[in-house]
Amino acid sequence: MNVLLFPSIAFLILMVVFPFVFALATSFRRYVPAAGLRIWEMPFVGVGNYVRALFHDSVFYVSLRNTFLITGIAVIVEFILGLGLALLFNREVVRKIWPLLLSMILLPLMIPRVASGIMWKMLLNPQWGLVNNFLAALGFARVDLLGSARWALLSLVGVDIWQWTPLVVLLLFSGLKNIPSEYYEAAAIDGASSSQMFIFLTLPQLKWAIAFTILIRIIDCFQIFDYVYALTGGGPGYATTTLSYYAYLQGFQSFNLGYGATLGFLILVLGMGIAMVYMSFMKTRKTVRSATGE
Amino acid sequence: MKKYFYALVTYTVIGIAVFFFLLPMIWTISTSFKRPRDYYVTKVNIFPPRPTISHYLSVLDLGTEEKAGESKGGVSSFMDHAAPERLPPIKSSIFNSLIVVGSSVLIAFMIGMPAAYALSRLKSKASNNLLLTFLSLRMLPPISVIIPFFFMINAFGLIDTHPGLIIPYVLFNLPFVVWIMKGTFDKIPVILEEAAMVGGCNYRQVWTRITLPLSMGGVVATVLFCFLITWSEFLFAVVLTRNNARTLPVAVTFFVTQHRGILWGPMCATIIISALPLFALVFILQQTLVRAFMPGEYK
Repeated sequence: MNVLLFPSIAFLILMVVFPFVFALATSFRRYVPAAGLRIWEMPFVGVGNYVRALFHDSVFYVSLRNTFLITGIAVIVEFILGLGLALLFNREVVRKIWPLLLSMILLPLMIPRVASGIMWKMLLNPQWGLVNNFLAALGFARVDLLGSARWALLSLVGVDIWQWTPLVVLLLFSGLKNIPSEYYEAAAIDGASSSQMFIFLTLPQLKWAIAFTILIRIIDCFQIFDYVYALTGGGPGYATTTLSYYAYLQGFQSFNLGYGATLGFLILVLGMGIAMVYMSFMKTRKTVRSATGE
Repeated sequence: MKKYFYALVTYTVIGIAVFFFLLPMIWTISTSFKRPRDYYVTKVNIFPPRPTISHYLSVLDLGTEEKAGESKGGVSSFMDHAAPERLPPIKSSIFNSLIVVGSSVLIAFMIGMPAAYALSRLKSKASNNLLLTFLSLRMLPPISVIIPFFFMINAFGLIDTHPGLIIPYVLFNLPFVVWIMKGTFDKIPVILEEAAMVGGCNYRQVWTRITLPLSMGGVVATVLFCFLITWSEFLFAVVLTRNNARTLPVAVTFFVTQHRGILWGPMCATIIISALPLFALVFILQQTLVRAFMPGEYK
């Protein structure tokens, strides 16, 4: 039986451990064009890259702030909208048509992220985009959403919400469906009102689904890259540059591969840290069991 | 009476939500059928006034590109797409995407399914830790490993080849395969397999006659998920490919040209084309999924 595990363990070591060590090694070096892609020829700078990132690089902190803003706003809005929709889908009147509804709601997920980023770039175009045409038809002024720093960031959040709320709906709806209706009937017999049933019956039963969904969304929003690439290219100045996009800019546009690896490693540590804090917070509420289904 | 009111409110809200989620796609479909002069307008036109399939044809190399100035003679403008540049090679990108994504899902299954089975049947602390390791791979930011992968793939000369992209994609698919399949195997009672062994089956027969058929639902769900994730993957594709192995998501960004601005028409056609395989997959597998989740299939 253990033999079955060998291919996957070998793959893990080759494809995860080795690149990880490699990335770490690269992050301690500075890229010079003469080295080509031979990492051992790059000069060793020790923690120089890290010092630069943490103490001398304001763009790093700008991108950090942007990433946190986008993640925070997007996850909260997606959760509220997704939970609301999932609850609506769970009502008696909708029971008959929910397969059809689900397949319609899931359509935004089918579009590649870059493609939907570009699609929204078209929709938000100041001259002939749908959004602005609509606003103009209603009598409002046209807005160049991607030209202003604040609105460009919110546009990114908007695209993420548009594409990923359906996933939240799907996950939470599956969780809702797993609550036996007998619980609700028993609660009704005991005289519970709708809001009481929601707070004391629905929410506790959904704890696992909610925790899982929010974790997934936080992780994915933290790594946002495609939308930035397609929609704003970093935004006016660096207003919409996220952590991943900044690391990409450094590593593959400026070709500072050493510094890019440094940023990548910092992002990894940050991301893992957030995930672990989140999971330990969840662990205090319930025991850990492996996710099933989905 | 109150019941009808609630129903009305529910349907209205759901209607608004569906409208919000579907509108951009409807608009994209509509634009992909519009002639260039008709989408550079300041009015809201849901239906193309003069529909044309030329964008699809030109993107798939089946026809010539629609020139905006052709339908009306006279003054030429930037809308006339003057410089005869070639469109991005979408047809080859479709093939590349299909090959790369399909292969990586297949290989991820070959590596991950045995692992998932072992992790499901073995109940030890070590196996639990291994499972957690696999799951934590899900949280790996691609940007953190892109640079070493860039070096490694380059060292083997695999830049801009299919294997060069397949190998990292297997890494992305593996956590899902292990995760979902382990859950699926957990639901198949060991007693069934043991009974079959007692009844005279060897390992292979137990696998093909009992375990595999019962786990079809999980297999389908995994294939769906992995396809969804890998098809739209962008960072590795844009870094590790040049002209030969370029996948669809990268090709879509090439419609932002230097000389002719952004070619919205063909680009919308490409976006729709890039979403079609996933639509088809979900549509086809939907029936299998629903059937597989029905309880009581143990015969």
